[in-house]
Amino acid sequence: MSATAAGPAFDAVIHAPNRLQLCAMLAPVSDVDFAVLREGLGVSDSVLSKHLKVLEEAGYVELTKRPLASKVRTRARLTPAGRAAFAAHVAELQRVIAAAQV
Amino acid sequence: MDEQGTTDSLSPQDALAAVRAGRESAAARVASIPWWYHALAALPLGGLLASQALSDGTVRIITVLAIVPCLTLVGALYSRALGGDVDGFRRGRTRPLAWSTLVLVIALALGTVVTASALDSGAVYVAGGLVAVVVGTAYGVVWSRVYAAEMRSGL
Repeated sequence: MSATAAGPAFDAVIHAPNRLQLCAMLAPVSDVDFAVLREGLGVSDSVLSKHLKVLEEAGYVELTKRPLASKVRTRARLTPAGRAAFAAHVAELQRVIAAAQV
Repeated sequence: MDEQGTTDSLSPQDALAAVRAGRESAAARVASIPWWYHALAALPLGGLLASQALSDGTVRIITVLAIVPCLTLVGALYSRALGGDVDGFRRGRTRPLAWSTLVLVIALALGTVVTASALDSGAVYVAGGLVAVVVGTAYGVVWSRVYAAEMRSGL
């Protein structure tokens, strides 16, 4: 199901727990360092890369590389489509929980 | 939840818990910034205002030119502390605070210039610069708390 800005919408790409947490870390900021995301999720580089790849292929995340001192730092940011899909997915989760409580 | 982040048997409650964990992570990063970091970040702003007290025009211009890159450095320091970039004017509870502080700083700068001209006193610029540092520090501290509180609520 595709996400729209109009209302709740389940998104299978985002629903995976690590990707949900990733989106929640990215949503309130402009971008986040790869290392910060890895520590926040408590996963390995390869696992984080896989999740970011899935989100990137869905058009939800953009990855950029910035030179910092002698290293190149990778940063991730949610695209507008990613932000809309995440907001719609969270709204859908809240709707389902609220409906179950009625 | 497994490490691969599959969706098997993930309940809506568990999913929201994952979202909360992500928001808590963002809150914790901002909350970990000490107050003196904000004070350090506010120094260039105060310096710009206080430098107007310098009587020698050339020295004043050189001082301003030396301070301006520090503003960029401040951005880089915050980026490093936060592990990323956060828009101070982002949508959310912090936006009114950011705009009101911007208006306050502009009013402070204009007020300082007008008062210093009226009194013909360079000390007014120094005082204005000190107030700007205090305002900038307070803004950083309050903004961080409001942001962290927003991240920890609402879900």
